[in-house]
Amino acid sequence: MSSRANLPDTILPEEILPEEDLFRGVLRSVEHAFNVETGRPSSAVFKDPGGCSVDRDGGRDTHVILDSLSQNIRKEIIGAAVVNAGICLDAEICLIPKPSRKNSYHALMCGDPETKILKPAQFAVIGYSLKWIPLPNVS
Amino acid sequence: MVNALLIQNGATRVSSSSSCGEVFNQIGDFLQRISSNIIELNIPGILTPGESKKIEIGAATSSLKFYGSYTLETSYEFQAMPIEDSDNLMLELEFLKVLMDRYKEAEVALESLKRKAMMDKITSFSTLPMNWNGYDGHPVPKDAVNIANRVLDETKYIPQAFPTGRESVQLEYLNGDFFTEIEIFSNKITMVCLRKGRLLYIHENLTESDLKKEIASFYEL
Repeated sequence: MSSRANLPDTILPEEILPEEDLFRGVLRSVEHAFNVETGRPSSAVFKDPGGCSVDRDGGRDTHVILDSLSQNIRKEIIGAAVVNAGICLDAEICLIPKPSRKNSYHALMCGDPETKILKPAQFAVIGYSLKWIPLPNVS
Repeated sequence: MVNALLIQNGATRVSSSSSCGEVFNQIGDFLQRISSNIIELNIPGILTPGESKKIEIGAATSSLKFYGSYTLETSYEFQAMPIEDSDNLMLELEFLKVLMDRYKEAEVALESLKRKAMMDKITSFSTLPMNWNGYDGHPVPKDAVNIANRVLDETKYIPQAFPTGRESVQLEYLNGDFFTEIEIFSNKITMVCLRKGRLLYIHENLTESDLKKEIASFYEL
């Protein structure tokens, strides 16, 4: 994996577009992420003390995104939980691009621009629409 | 419905994936199909949890020896093989009754095992390493873990459980079109209920005893 994966080929739009997907890497056991009854990842994956750190897709291929997620987290991931930005915007979740020196695609999901904390109902909406994208060798 | 029924070299083999109740129905159908004369019954009971996590039953008819097993999760298989001896007949109905009783016992035992396994999983959330999720997640405080385990121990239904990166336990219950997410912190409990993805109601600050009642109510929706 090279750091090249984290540098955009084109300039990213300042605002996160509704058609973009937002990726959250998942480490360790899939038991900590995947609800076998619903067939979806749990929204628990997205729960941070403040805003939720995600990577926007920025038009990249999925395998490139998973590679760069693993690189940014600095640990091996088993897959990613993915939510569509448009669904987040409909749930009044603020999507704030937060590019860093190492990761141009980093963004924050916030329930409130000041407190940043997402509301329980917003997490539930996220959870209902989540998709699970495993690494190719993970079932 | 039996997903596969193969007859090869005189042996009949059925395998599928199903829930415990469905397994019983399928075995009942299967037995009715193969014979009404049962000469031998062997139900060793539960061989779980440990390594095999299997429940096994066995029986023989005048023409077939039958045994089966299913795992703690959702897979099972059972087989029937021809035998020669046909003395000491046992009525099929009696066999089915015993089988049904055994399966009821097995279902109760399975429920208990699943509950125990889920409580063990929740307990493990308090020993997660720092940065367990790659996003600076901390282990879940024991207070939150203990509340979640008490709720699980004192309510009928078994949820899915997850650690969160903000030091809480998340319980998720599914009831048909209804879905609820419960987040248990050391000092706060929230509950959100959705129907087909649409918000139905939300409780921002439940007590532990209120939560147990709310879970019961959720299954009456």
